[in-house]
Amino acid sequence: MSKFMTPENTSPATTNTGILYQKDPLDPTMIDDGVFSHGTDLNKLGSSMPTALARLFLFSSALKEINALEAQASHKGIAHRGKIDSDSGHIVPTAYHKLVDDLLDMLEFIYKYGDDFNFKAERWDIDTEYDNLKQSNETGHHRLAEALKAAFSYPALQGIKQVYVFKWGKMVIGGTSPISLVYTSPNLIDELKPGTLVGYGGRNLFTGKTGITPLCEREPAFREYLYRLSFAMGNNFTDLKRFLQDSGSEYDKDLYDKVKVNPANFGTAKKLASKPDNIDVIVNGVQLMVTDNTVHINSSTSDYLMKTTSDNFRHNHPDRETPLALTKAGIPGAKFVEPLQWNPNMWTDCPEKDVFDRQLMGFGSKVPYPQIVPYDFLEERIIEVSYNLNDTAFFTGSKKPCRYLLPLKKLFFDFFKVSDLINEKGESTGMLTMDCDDDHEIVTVTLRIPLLSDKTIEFKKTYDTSAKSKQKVDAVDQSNTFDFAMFPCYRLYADNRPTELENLQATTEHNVYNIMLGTTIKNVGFKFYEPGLFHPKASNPQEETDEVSATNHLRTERGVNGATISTDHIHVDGSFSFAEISVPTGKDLPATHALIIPKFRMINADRTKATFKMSFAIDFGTTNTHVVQVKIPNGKSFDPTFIEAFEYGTPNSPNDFQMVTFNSASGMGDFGSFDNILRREFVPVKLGHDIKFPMRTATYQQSGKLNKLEMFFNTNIGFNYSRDLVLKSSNDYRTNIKWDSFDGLSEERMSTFFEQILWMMKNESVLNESSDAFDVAVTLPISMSESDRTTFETAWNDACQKVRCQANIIYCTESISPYYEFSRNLKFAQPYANIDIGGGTTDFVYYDKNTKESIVFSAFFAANDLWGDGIEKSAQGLKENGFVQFYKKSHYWTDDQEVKDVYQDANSSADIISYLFSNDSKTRFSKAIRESRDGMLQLPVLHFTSLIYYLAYCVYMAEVSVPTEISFTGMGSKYIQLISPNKDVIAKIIEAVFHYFGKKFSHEELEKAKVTVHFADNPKEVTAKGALMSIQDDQGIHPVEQVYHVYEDEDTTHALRYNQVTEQTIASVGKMFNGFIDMLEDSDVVAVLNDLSCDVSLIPASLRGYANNSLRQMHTKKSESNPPKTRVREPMFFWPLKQSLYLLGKDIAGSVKSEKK
Amino acid sequence: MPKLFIFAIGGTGERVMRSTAMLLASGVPAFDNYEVFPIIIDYDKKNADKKRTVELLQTYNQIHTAAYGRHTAQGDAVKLVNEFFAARLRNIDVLEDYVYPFHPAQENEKFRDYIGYKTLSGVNLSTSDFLESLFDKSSRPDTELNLDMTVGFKGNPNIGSVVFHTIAGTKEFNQIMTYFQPGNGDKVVVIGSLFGGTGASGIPEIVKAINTVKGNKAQIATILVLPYFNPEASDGAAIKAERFNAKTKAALDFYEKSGIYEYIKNVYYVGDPNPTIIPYCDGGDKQENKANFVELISAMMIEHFVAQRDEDKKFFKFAVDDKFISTPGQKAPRERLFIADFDKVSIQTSLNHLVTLGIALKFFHEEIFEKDKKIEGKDFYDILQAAKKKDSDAARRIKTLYDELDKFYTLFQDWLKELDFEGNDKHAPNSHRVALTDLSRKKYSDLFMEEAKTTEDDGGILAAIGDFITSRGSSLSEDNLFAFMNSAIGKHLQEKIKVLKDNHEAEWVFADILHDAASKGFDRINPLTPNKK
Repeated sequence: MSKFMTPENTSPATTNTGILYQKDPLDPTMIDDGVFSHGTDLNKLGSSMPTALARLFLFSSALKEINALEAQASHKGIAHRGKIDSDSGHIVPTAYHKLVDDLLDMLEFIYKYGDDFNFKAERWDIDTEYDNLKQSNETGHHRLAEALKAAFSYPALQGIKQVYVFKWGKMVIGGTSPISLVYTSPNLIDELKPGTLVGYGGRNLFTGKTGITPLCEREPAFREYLYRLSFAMGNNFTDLKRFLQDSGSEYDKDLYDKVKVNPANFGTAKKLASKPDNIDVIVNGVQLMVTDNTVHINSSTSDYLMKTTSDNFRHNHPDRETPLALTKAGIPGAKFVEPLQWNPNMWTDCPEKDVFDRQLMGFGSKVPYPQIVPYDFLEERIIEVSYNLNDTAFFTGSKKPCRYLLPLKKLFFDFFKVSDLINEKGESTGMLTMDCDDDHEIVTVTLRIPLLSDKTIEFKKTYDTSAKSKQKVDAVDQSNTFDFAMFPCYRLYADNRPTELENLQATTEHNVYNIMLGTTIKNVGFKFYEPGLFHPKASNPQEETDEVSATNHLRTERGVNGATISTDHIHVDGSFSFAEISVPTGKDLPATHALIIPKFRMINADRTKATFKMSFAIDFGTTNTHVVQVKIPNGKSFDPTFIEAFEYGTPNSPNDFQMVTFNSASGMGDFGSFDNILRREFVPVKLGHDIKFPMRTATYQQSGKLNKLEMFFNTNIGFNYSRDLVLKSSNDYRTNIKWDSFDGLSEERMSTFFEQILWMMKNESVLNESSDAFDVAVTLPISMSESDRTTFETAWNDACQKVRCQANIIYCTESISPYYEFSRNLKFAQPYANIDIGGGTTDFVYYDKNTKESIVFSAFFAANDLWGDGIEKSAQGLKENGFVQFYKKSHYWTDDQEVKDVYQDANSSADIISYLFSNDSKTRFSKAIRESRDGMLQLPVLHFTSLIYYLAYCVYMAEVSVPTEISFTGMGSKYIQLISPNKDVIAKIIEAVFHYFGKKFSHEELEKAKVTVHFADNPKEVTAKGALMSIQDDQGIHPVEQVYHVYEDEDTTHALRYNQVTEQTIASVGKMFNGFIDMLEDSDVVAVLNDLSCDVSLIPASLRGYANNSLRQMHTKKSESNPPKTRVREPMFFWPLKQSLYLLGKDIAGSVKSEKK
Repeated sequence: MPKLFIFAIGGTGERVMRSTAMLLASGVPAFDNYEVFPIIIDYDKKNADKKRTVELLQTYNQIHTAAYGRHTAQGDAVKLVNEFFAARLRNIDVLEDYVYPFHPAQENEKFRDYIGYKTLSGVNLSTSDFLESLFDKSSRPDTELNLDMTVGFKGNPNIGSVVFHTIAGTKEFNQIMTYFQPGNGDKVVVIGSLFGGTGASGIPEIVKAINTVKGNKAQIATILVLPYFNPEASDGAAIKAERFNAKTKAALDFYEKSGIYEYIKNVYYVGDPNPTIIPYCDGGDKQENKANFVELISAMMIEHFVAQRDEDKKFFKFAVDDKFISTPGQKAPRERLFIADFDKVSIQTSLNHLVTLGIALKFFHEEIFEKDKKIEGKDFYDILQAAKKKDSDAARRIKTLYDELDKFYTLFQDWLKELDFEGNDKHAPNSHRVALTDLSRKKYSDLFMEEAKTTEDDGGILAAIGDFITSRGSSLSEDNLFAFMNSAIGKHLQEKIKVLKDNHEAEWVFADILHDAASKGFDRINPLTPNKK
C-alpha cells in the first residue's frame, strides 16, 4: 500500500482523514509501482518527466529508488541486486535496477574506452547552440532553442553551461548529466547490436532486456574508480554518491575501506577529455576518468600463451608477440590476462582476419594482441572423398580408415612443426585427432594446443557430414573427385650443418618431388610449403614466403580424346613439409582447403651415415631394358650373387615404396579410373610383380605436338606398355627410343627415360639404407657413333643434375658385359666369344684367357632387322613385316580380340611381334615360325648365319684363335632357339659357317673349328648383370674396340670415316657380301640346314636382288645422318641385309598360302 | 478584491475544476469576496470533461450574475459572505469561456516536425546529436520524436514541456499576468495530474513562466494529482495504467530535483492508491469521467490554500484511512466515506457547505421551482412576487436565477451521484465512494448522510451494512424550511411592512434567504453540531 494517502507526519487534523502537512516533498520512493518489465518501458519512465532534459534526471531517480530500498531492513545488502518479489520470494531486478545498470555500464564504458579513437565526448554549449538554432530559418529550430534554454533554467541546472554528448563512432550513446553524472540514450536498446559496446570481461553493455550486473560484481578496478569518484562528488550527485558508498560499505567492504584511506588517488587513470577541443570533461565539479589501458601479457599474467615450436610467424615481422590460444569455453582455473578472468561472454565469433590485427577479447578495442582461435587452425568445411586415405603415407589424425582430408589450416605451421603432429616413426603424437563417426555422420577434429603454462587448450570442431551439410565438400562422386600420387615419399634431411636454417637449406637441395593429380574437378590446386625456408614473394619482394616453388603441367585433359579424367603433374623443386590442397566449394563460395601432410620416411642425407652401398646396371636396349641392382654392406666386398633385378615394394623389398597414392591400399573407391592413368603416366606402385625388368624399352608420351619433353609433364617410362597394348588403352607409347632418327625429340625422350630411371635408382638406394651416392653401370654398344654417344652421355648427365644425386655413371660396352656373367659360371680356359643380340645392335666380345687378347666389336644389326619395318621411313608404322603377315595367314591366328587389338593399335611390327612372343603360349607364334621351315624360318637362319659369318670375319681379321666357346645373350638371341633349341645343332650351323669361311679365306683353324654353344637362361639379364660385375672387377678384361667393315683390303689401322666411303668401297662391301650369299648355296652348309629341314635354296636369288639396294640405301642414310668425318662405327657388311631381310620376309609371307580356315 | 487564478490543466484539472465549482457554489467562506479566474488548459480540443466543466462554470456564472450582478454593481457595502455562488467567476476576454486557446501544434503534427528535427544540419548537427541522446527516435508511433500531438502528449511530459514552454510567450498569458497582482493578495493555483501528459507537462512550465514574470512574490499552489483512476487495459493503448505510478514517481522526483518547488508556496499531493477503474479513452469527446473523491479533495485543497491555513507549512497531502475501499467483488470493512469520517476542519470549511447547498437546491427545486404559484401565501414568496412586480429587472433576474439554479440542481445531483457511484453492470464502482448528501431522498432529515451503526455482536468487528441510513433525531421538513425562509427574509424588509428595503434586490434577497434557510435546516440535521450528538 502506498503511503501517499495515509498519514505519516503530525497533522493538524484530529482525524485520520484530511489534509496533512509534511515536512518534505512527497518522497516518490514511497510509491509502490510494482516490479515491471524492462526494455522500452524504461524509456517511458524517462518521458514522464516534464522536461526535455528528462534523461538527465531519470537515472538519479532510479538510484534514489534503490537507495531507498537498501535503507529498508528487509533489503539491506540485497537491494543492489533487486527487490524481493512478494509472490515468489525471489530477488528480482526492477526497471530501476536496469536503469542503474545502464548508468553503471556507461560509466564503465567511459572508464574503459574513454580514450579510444572511436569514443568522443562532444561538448554541447548551451549558449552557443541556442544562438545557432536561433539563426536558423526554421521556426521549429527557434522553438527548440527556447525550449532547451528553458529546460536549463530550472534552479538545479542554473550555472550549467554545457553538457557532453557521448558518441561511439557515429552512434550517439548518451551524455553527461549534472544530476546523475552520465546518462544513456533511449535509442541504445533498439540500435545496439551485441558486441558493439562491451565492458570488462567482454560483457555486452546496455543489453536492455537481460539481467543486471551489480556494481559489486563488476571489475575491481572499475569499482575502485567509482568509490574514489564518490568521494569527489561533494554535495552533488547525492543519489549516485549514496549508491556508490552503499555499494562499497555493504557489498565490497574490503576494497571500499582501502579506497577510503586515500580516496583522491586515482592512480594511473587519465582525465577524460572532449573531442575535438580537448577540454577536461568535468561534470558538476567531478572530473570523469579513463583507466590506464596498458595490459601486460606474459607468462606470469596469462596461462593462455601458446607454447609454439616454430617462430615462422615472426619471420616477416620479428617483433610479433606470441599469441594467446583461446576458445569460448576457456580453461577452467586458468589465468586469462590479468586483471581479467576469462568469461565466455568475452568471446568474439568473428575476430579480425589477421591474427596480428586483433584486439584482445574482453578488452574491447583497447588492447591489440594476437590471438589464435579454432577458426584460425581449423577449416570451415571438410572435404570427403570416396576412398580411404593412405594413412601409411599421409597423416590423417584418425585411428580408423578415414575418407576426410585434414581440415587443418596452413597458419598452424607458422607456430608449430610437422614433428608436433607426427613423431620420427611417422606415428601421431596425439596433438591432432580426427574422429570419424559414420553412424552419426559427424567428424570431430580436436587440436590440442600446448601452452606455456604447461596447460593445453583444445580446439575442437565438429563437422556435419550428412548428405546436404554445408560443412562438407563432397568429392565422392567419380565425376567430381580427385586423387593423387607422390613420387618419391621420403625426405633426405641434413643435420650436420651449423644452423637449423643451413640444415634446411641443405635438405631442400636434396629433394625433388613429383605429384600426379588425377581429377574430375576443375581448379583443384596444390601449394607446397617448407616452413622456415623463406624466399622473396613474387608479388611483393619486400615480404618473404615459405611456399616452395612448384611447376604444374596439365597432361591429360578431361574430355579431350575421350579422357575421362584430367591429370596434372606437379614438380616440386625442393623439399616440402606439407601441401595445401584447394578444392572448389561451389558457386560464389571460396575454395575449401585441406592440408596434405606426408609421412615422409626420414633419411639422413649424410652419405657417411649409410650402411650399405648400392650399385645398379642398366642395359638400355633398343627393344628391352633391364636394370639390376646390388646392395653390399659398407666394408664388405662385392658379391655377384647378391645381384638381383631392380624391384621395390615386393615381398623381397617391402619397405621401399617409391610412389605413394593418396588412397589407401584398399583402392581408389569410386575413382578407379585414376588407376589406369596413374599406371600409364607415372611410376609403378610396385616394381617386380606385374611390372618388372626386363621390359619393353618404351616411353609414354602425351599426344599432340610437343615442343619439349619433360619427365612426367608429358613423358615417362612406359611401364604400362604391355598392359596398355593389351587394353588398347593408348597409342601414345614410343618404342625404338634408343635409335629413332625420325623424331626430333628422340634425344629428349631418351634423357627423360634416364631421368626417371635414375630417380628410381636414387629412391631405391636411399630407401635401402644406402645413400644418394651410388654407381650406375650403363651399357652402350661400341657401334654407337661419337655423336650418339655424346648425346647418350649428355642425357645421363642431365638426368643426374635433375635428380640431385651423386650417381657415378660408368659406361660399359654392351659387348663385354656378358663375358662377366658367363665367366663366373663357365670357368673356361679356351678362347671365348659372346654374341649379344639386342634389338638394334649385336655386340661381340672375344677373349682368349691364354693370350689375354680381348676384342669387342659391334654391329648395327640385330633383332629389329628381323622383326621390324625395314629402313624406309615410309614403311614405319605400316606394320607390314613378313612375320606379321605370315602369322595372320597362319592357322594359329585366332579371332582373339586382344591379339586383334594389339595388331590394330601397335605402332610397329616389332611391337606386335614382341607381344606375340611375350604371349607365345597363347599365340603359338614361335611354333608357327618353326613349322615354316621352308618359309619364314629361313629368315632367322639368314640373320643368324650372317652374324656368325661376321664373327668368322672378325677372327680372321684380328688374327686370333677361333673361339671354341660361344655364348648368346640378349633378348634378340631368343630367335636362335626358333632355329633349334638344341645347342649342338646350333653349334653345327656355326661350325658350318666357320668351315665355309675358312675354306673361302684359307683359314685353316676356321675350317676345322669346333665350338660349344651356350645360351643364357635369361639372355637379357646377362648384359646388365655383367655390366654390374664389370665395374666391380678391377681384374676384368679391357678389350680393344674394333670395327670390321667387311670389304676387300680393309685397313684396320685407320679409322674409316663416312667421307672416305667411296663407290668402290660400297662395291667391295657388296662383293664381300655376295660371298656370304654364296655360302647359302654351299653344299656343306646346305646340308647342315637340310638336317634341320630348313630349305634356304630360294634365298640367294632373292637376296642378290635386294642386297645392293639395301646396301646403297643404308649408305645414303648413314651419310646423311652423320657428319662426313664421323667414324663409321659399324660393319657395312650388314647394310645389304638390313632392308633385304624385310623385303624377303614380305615376299615369303606373300607366297605362303593362307592357312586360315 | 483578491483574485484567484485557477489553472486547470488537462482532464484531471478540468474535473478538479468541476468539484471546485461545487465548493464555490456552496459558498465556502474561504472564497468569499474572491474573484475567481478559472483557466482551463487542454491541448485536446474535444475533451468532453472540458465541455462539461465549462457548462458548469457558465451555469454558475449565470446564477451568480442573476443573483448578485446588480447588487455588487451598485457597490453595496454588504459583502458577499455566507452566500451560495458568492465568488465571482471571471472570464478574461482573451479566453474562450475560461478555456485557454492553446494549440501550438498543427493537426496531426509530429513532435519531430514541430521542432524541425529533420532539418538540423551544419552547426546544428550537434544539437541533433544531443536530441538523439534525449529522445527515443525509433519508428514506433508512441515514441517521443514520432508522437502525433493532436490530442496531447499521451503520457510524454518531456515532449509536452517543450510545447508548453511556449505558453509563456502567448498574449493570453501576458494578459493574465497583467491581472495577477501578487501584492494585492492574488493567488494562483495550478492543477494537473502527474501521471498523464498534459497536466504533468504544464504544471512546471506555468509555474516557471509565472515566476519568470512575477518572481518569488507570486503565491502559487500546485495541486499535484497522483494516480486515482485506471483506464481499462486495451490493446495498443497509448495510455498504460500500469505505468502511472512509475511515471508519477519519475515526475515527483523531477519536481524535487529540478528545484521547481522553490517557486511554489504550497504543494498539495492527492491521489488514490486503489484507483477507480474507468473505461479506456485516448481523449477527445468520449473522455467524460465520473466525478471522483480525489477531485473533491483537490478542490478542498484549493480552499485550504485560499484560506491560508497552516501558512508556515509548504507540503500537504491528503490522507484517508485505507479501510474505505470499494472494489468489485470484495467486501471491504467500509465502502463509503461519510462526512463524519473527515477531519473537523474539512467538515466545517467545506463539506458542511456542500450539504447545505444540497438542502437548498432540493428545497428550491421541489418546493419553489416546481411549485411556483402553488406556494402563494408563503410570506417570502409573496414579498418577492410583489417586488418583481415593481421591478421588471428583478423579475427577469429571478427567472434566470430560478432557471439556472434548477439546472445547477441537476448538475449538482449528478456530481453527487458520481462521487458516490456504486457501480453497475458495465462499470466498476468508485474505489472510494463519498456519500455527502443525496437530493433524491424524501426527507430533508436524511440529507446529512452517515454510516449506520450495528451492534457489535459479531466479535466487535465493524461490519458494513450498505447504505442504511438512520434518521436524525431532529427532523427537518419543507415546512421547517419555509418557515426559515419566511424568517430569514425579515432582515430585508422595511420596518413593519412586508416590503423589501431599498437596494435589497429581490433576486439577491432570494439567494440570501435560501442560504439562510438551508443553513438553519442544516444545523437541525447536522449530527456533528456541538451538543447535538
